[in-house]
Amino acid sequence: MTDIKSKDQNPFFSLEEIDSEREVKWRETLRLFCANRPALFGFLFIIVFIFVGIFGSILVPADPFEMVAVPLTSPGVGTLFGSDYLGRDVFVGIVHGTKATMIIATTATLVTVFIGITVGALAGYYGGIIDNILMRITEFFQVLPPLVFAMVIVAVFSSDILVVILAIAVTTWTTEARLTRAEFLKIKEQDYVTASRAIGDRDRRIIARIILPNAMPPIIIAITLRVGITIIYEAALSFLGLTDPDIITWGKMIGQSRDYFFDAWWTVTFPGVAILLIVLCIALIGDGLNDALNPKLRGR
Amino acid sequence: MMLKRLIIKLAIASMCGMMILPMSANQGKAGEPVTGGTVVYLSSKIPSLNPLHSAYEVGLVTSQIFASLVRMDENNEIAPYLAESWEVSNSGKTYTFHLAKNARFHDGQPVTSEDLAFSFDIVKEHHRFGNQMFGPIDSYEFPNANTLIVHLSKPHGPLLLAATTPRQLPVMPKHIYGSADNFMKQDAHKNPVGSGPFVISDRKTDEYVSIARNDSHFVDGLPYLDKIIYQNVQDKTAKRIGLRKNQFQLARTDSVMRFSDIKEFSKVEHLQLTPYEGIAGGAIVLEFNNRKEPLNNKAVRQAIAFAVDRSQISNVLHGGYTLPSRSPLPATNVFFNPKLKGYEFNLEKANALLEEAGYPKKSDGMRFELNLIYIAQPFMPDFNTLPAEFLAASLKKVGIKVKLEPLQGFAGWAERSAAWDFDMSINWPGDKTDPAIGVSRLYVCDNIKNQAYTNTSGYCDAEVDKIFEMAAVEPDIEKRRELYYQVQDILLEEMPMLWLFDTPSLFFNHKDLFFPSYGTAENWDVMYWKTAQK
Amino acid sequence: MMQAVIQRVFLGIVLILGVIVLNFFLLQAAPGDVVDAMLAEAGGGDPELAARLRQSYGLDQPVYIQLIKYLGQVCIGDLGYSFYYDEPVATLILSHLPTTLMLTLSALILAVLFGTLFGVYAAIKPKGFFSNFVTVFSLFGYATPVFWLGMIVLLVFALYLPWFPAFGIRSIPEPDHPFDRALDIIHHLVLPTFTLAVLFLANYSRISRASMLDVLGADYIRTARTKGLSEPKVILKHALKNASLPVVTLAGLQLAQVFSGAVLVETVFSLPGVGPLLYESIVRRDFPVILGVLFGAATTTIVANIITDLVYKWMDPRIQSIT
Repeated sequence: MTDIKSKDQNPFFSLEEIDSEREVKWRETLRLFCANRPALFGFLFIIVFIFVGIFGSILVPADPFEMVAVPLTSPGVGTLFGSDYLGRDVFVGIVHGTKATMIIATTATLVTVFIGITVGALAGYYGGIIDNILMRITEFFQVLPPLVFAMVIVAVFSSDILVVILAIAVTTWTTEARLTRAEFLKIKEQDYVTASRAIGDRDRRIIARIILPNAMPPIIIAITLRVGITIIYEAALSFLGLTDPDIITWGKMIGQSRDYFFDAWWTVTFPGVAILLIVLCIALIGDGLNDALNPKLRGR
Repeated sequence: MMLKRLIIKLAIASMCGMMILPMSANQGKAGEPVTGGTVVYLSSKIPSLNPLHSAYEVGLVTSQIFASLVRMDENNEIAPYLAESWEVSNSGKTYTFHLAKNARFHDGQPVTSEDLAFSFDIVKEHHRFGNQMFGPIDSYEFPNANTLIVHLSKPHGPLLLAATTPRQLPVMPKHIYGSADNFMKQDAHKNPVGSGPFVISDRKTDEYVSIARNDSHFVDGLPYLDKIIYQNVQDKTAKRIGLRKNQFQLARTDSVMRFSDIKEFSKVEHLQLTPYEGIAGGAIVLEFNNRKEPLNNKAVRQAIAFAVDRSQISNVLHGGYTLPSRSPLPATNVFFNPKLKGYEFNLEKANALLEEAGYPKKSDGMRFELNLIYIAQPFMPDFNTLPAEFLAASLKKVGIKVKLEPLQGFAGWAERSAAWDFDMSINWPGDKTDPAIGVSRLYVCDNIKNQAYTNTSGYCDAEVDKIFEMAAVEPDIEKRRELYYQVQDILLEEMPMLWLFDTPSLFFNHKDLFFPSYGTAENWDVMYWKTAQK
Repeated sequence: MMQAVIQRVFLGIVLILGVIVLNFFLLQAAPGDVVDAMLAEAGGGDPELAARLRQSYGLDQPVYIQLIKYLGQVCIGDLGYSFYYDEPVATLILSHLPTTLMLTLSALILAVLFGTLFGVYAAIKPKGFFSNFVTVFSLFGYATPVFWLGMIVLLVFALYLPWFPAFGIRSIPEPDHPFDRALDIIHHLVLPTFTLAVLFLANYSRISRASMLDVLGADYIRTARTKGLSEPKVILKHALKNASLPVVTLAGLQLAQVFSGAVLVETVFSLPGVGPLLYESIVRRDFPVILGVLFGAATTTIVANIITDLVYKWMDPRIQSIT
């Protein structure tokens, strides 16, 4: 409550002003983004993927684990994308796998980003000894080869889906932490931050309401790209056999069928194409956001 | 696992007093052996050249570097090797071995009775089956450098047969291996010295091992080949490309491809499919934890057996290269009862049994949940991941939810198995050819131990114990057979585990290559090209 | 400067110790040990033999004693002994390292060179076919799973078009002449290097293009242009140096991963590198090997970070430290 009052008494400028200024900026960003055709295309395509993810199991009600065809049937009428080594329908697998793939990607990204931003923000804002300690911890995690460390974690704590998500997050958050820290270092010297500190705003408020929103543009781009990287990362873990057996993801489909690639290309190719497409769309969105958030790069 | 099968097979042969192995049918009598030439074997990792190492492929190399005391000939009879001749006392407690006088180690030193006794002792202490093979050895006498008298504490049939392969009894020079504090950890394993037909010529860890003819081998005219290269390739696609391009002339099928693709590869013109007679007779089983509810209920175990269409696994998913098991013994076993048919695939019966046992379907259509442990991909998916996934999908249809728990590598699985921490477990307990050794250990009460490959299912029945005990000491083969028929009936009714499918071992070899697949089948000194190679 | 480097080295050693201790405890928590793995691989054994093996490997001692012993060994430069390979860990890693370094370093160098070239060119000529190509190429590079690309490359260029070998780092037997031997290894490395480089390259062209565009819009470039400097001179002398800072950052990060960063490519192409060694050692619980590789990887990372910092300072003396 006191916060709101102090904001009103702010002698220099009100936060509402910053807020509305920011709103204008966001609207401009949105306009630029929509004007970027590849990005818009990527975005629409992602909507389709999300739609498939949510309604896929209703539209294609078959059980992806059910053996419906002769094993390794080539793509055709009965099974659109062919069947795998157990006779499971690859198409059904891809449709049902959309949901799991996207949930894992977004959850893992959220965890990653949460750890990353928290550490980065604290380090960047407070500086000094806190910064030093947090950065050493970051360095510690950076020193461990990510894929290998994830392998150790999964080997130790079973291949449950939560462990996989955690393993992805624990091994990749350092990038976001560094980025956030750099932004915070830059922004915390700005006038409006100094001002708000001068009027006695609490640290938590300054971090969450003032610096963070302004640090958001590059972080948003990083998060977008991170979703794509996470999808590929999960696929890599699946490829090495580190995957939850009860959940079907595209990466797992590739990993399990890799022995059959020689004779049954469809078992590996179609899930691979699915990954390629979705990550491509994410990359397009990332590029679009990048252009929209840094208007001076427009026209390149 | 291979190793275990070998020993057991050998042990049985001695106990039954008859040879159970059929003669190999594929021996190319047409081509006379050509001396010379090279064979590249598509191998897995060969981490070490310690003759007692656990990895299967290591034994394939050391079997050529070391010679054993005796060997199996093409008629599957025990033949001289390092031992020119031997006598067994009437009591069966004293063996006298006369070593070949011209036998020399690769460093030129003669093979003596001291070396032989040393090797027995090392194997007894460090080999994984040392105790089963040579445990009763009590003391030695050394009348001269070429003669060793072995005294046993009790008659021990398997002794001679255990000595038929360097995998089980590599005769090692004491002057080289004897000085280390710890046999398993010494430099000599980098460049092993034996008295076998080949010597190590070159090696790069995790890439290849190359062995060359031992020109002064003590057996005249052997080996035929100049060189064998064991090349390690990990990726299955790469392996197949290499095999198709004739970069390998010999390969074990299960390490190269999945069963379902063997047929396709058999069409490759220069390749021939050969069953490996030496290690036939294993089976993959679904072990139930008989201690836990609801698996402590016989009806539930039977219902599971009815619910799994095992012919689908063997005939379709494995392309017909495995056989649905019909009894606790594989169909290749002499004591197998051919009248047995095993459990048919019958969902109605399965559902009825489950209802009767008091496990009605709940609102979600499921009755109860069971976990299933197995070794995760990429380890032999045809024997682990594939049956596991198939079981989960099958059991779901009768309302049993299966929680799949793939474990990374042997270590994870062995620990869970030893701790009895599972509902169901996919197990490959090795050979079952001899019920006295290979089968009874999985069912008898006093072998319920915290160690993988013992009676980890916890099944215990006084009558079964009694029959197994009687059968083990019964000298008459017909009476033995009767007893084993009896125990097969009981076990089939009790279903302490579900015997899924019998596993063969198949090799691809170049059609111009004679591949000895008899006996212990690792005597590659008699492998030869039927036509001269470039 | 010197003092800063010394401080970094000291911190690095502390970090490495931390990595070893953490992983030591993590691995101890993993189910099963190397004795379980080896006995199960052989299909048997009894509790007595298992106990004897554990004793001879020192696995029967309390964890903290094992840790202290291990750390003591590491301090005198001994990375321990692999139970599975019957070989000292250092020897084992050194025999696998050349393959990995040849692969990762050549892919990295190719990627930095061509990636930067592509990116810079695309930035200078933003409206051409080539620029579009770079954009599309880097998008695909970002979006393709490396092992998937590897599998496709393997099938196409080793089987359907049998131009390159499908596995291994050399032919067996090796050619006699050293020159032929080198050619043979290069021949084996083409496909894996290509696969890895394509993905790296996409990153570099993307980053260098963006950063070059950024720099070209800056005031001092405009000033340089108005001063009448020729366009190549502007680009080479002023823009390029400033635009390559992000490239250096990325190259530094990837240099840090050369030790174990190619697990997937090495697996697909059956290369006897550090990656598969490590992966299988984890599955097999061969702890000394795992810890040894992590030790090497951590050391490489720290050295790479220090090098990156030095390069940074050399390129832009205003910067304090990026890591």
